[in-house]
Amino acid sequence: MLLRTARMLCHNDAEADDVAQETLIKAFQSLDRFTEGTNVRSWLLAILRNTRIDQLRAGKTRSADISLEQACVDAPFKHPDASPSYQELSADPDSLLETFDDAQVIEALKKLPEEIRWTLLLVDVEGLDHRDVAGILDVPEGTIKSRAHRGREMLRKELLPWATEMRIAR
Amino acid sequence: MGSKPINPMESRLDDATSRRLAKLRTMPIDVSSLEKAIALQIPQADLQNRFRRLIWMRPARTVAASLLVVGLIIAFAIATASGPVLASAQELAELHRGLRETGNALIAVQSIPAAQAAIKEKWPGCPQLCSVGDHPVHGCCVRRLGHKSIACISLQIDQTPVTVAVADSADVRCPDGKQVELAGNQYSLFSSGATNVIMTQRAGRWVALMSSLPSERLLAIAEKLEF
Repeated sequence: MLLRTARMLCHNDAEADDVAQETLIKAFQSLDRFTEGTNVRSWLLAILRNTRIDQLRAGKTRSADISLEQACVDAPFKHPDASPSYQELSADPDSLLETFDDAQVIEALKKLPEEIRWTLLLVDVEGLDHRDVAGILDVPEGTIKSRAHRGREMLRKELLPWATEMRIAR
Repeated sequence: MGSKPINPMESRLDDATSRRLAKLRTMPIDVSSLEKAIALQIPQADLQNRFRRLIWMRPARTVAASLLVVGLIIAFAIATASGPVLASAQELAELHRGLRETGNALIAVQSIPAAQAAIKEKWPGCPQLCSVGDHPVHGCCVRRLGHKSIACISLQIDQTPVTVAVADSADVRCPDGKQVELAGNQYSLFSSGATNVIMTQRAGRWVALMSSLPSERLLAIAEKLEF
């Protein structure tokens, strides 16, 4: 779980391995601080989140990871237009999204701002509930809901040009 | 920040996107490099001492701790074993893009025999490279895939860069992918962004071809590989 999240979060495997490794070691060293009754996965992901923030602050990573402020992740998102490919997506979204392989979906995910990426990884990929994700990302639950919605829209927007390229959609 | 109400169509798209993302949860991940790194970081004696102390912890905390410790012990055990590494199409596509963008990381050679000799100098145990027809060869190098070495050759086919990677089939495994059988040989097809990746295991070797060429063209090239 930790390595999967790190691999989808970071821009290369070495960076992801570093953050996952540091997370496991930190978790191992702070077992005494684990609070009884809390979710183990959320606890580990919260450590991963803090480790990643430390990694970004230390400048150990690519500058393509945009900060929350720079990315304006909570600003209104322009809805995709009514292009033919968007209409085809609307007609049968599951089938169209199924034609992208995992690597393409991950590549599209990596183009999203880091905070949006975190939200989609925790809510959709890991299947955590909004309350736990809000705790990990330290934002209100409502923000998680709107970021998840906006993130999915942004992801579809990243994938649509490939759909056209692959002739999945016109 | 207020969230606007979502209409039924958007909600349907949202649910479909969410379902597609959830499928990433089952994607195989190559953990070998992480396992190795962790094994080097945490001495085994420390792990054993920690584990003894956990016996005195309260139940929930012990469950969390046990999960971690068991994971770390397994990681250590696997890292010290020399099993094959699972090739990741995404990693290979990144490797191809990296070689294409930083061609100076390659040893300049003009033929497969010259590449074989140059690679042998860096990696004495490298397997015999396969012949890829008379396409111009630009360079070669040795790269790491997890904890295993692979030999890479950079070629130009149809004016497009192609990377051919070769390793011992006991060292590298093909992940699950779209399977194609041609002339009795099995090929696994993948794509990562604009890069297509084809893997096969033949004559005791694992071979991968990476390029922006269409998969059909890469398959035709792979079919003509000579071992």
